Amino acid sequence: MPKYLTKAFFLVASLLSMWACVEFEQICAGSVEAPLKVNFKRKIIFKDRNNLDSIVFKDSFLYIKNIKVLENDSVLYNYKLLSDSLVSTNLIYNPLKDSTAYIFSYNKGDTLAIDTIYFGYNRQIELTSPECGVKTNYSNLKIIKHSFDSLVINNANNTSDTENAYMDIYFNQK
Amino acid sequence: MQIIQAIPKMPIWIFTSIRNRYIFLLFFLHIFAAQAQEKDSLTSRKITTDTNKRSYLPNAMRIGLDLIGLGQLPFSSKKYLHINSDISFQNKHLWFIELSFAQNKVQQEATYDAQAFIARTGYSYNFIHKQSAYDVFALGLRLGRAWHKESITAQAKNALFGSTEVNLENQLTATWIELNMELKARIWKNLMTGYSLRYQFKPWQSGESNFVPYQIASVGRSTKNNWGFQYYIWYLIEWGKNKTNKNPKK
Repeated sequence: MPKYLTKAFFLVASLLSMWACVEFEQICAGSVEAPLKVNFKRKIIFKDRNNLDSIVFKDSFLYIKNIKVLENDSVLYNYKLLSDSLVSTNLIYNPLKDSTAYIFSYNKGDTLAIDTIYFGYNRQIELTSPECGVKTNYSNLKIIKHSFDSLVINNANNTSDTENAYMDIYFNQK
Repeated sequence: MQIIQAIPKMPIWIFTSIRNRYIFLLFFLHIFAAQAQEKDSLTSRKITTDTNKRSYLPNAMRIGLDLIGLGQLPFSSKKYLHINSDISFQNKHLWFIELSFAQNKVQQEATYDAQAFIARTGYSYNFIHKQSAYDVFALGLRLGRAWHKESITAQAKNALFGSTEVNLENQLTATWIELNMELKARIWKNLMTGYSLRYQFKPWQSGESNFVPYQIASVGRSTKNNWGFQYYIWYLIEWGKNKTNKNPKK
């Protein structure tokens, strides 16, 4: 066998043998399910000189008292201080059903407002690894019904690898 | 002092697994085999075969078995059997057929069970056909196809909504292309040894899928490109008038 072939033979074999003996530590970061991010925004409607509407959208915050799962009253978020406010929150998909509903209780001015949101989606189970178990991937997010002023779903099909589906909830302010 | 402090922090190069010991054993066996082969005058052999005549006719065939998969059979949950055969045209053009049977069962956080029957076919060009009538350093392409099924049993857990047992199965067919490098050397009479290194491109999959396809047993992850390595022992069968003289005079 030519010498260069012998060298190539041993070089490849030794590298592969070394590689075969490396055992990496298993990290289960990939098994975390992506939540549905909800941003709170204000829709401000101005009147111009001609009495036409001029609409401005602004990031906003909400004095949320609590957010609960509608079907079992599990608490996703509960306030600690009256002054606690949120500019966004993460809703968790129900991995056992194709829809989830949440109740938001929050202070709107001096009154306690209650709004609900029902959203649906498709589920697909993915094995992260036998060591880390399974997770559920969600796609085709859609709103079934809601009682907020208005809302918009972004990246509903979850097509982007870097950005998951998220929702903007708008509160009217005249 | 710094070295002593660094020792406990070193990455763990674990030599404890039986599979790893087996691969190392194969590697050292291979060194001895190659040394013995050099003494066997293969390095200086002149080819007595007339490669110009009837080079369009096959004159030899090799049938091989992967020793890594075979060695793992008794004690590993990963069971692979790779059979590799090639038809040789004057040791220059090699046409391959490879068959693999693989099973992989892991019981940890999830129980994962996969079985596959894999067939590969393709061509490789031997770059050292002028230097040797037996030895091979070849590069080529393969078309791979796997008929495989995989199942998972696990608990889907959620803090708000509770947990449920998931029991799903996929029955799929996968097709892929792979780049292949082979090194083969004759060690004794018609016995040859060497390895096959392959880079398998991400497969196309079709069939009944109830969860995101995870793996093709013995190939690798279903959604990624994969490397593959087998260490073979081959038996060479020659025929025809062009049969090579195995003990040529120097």
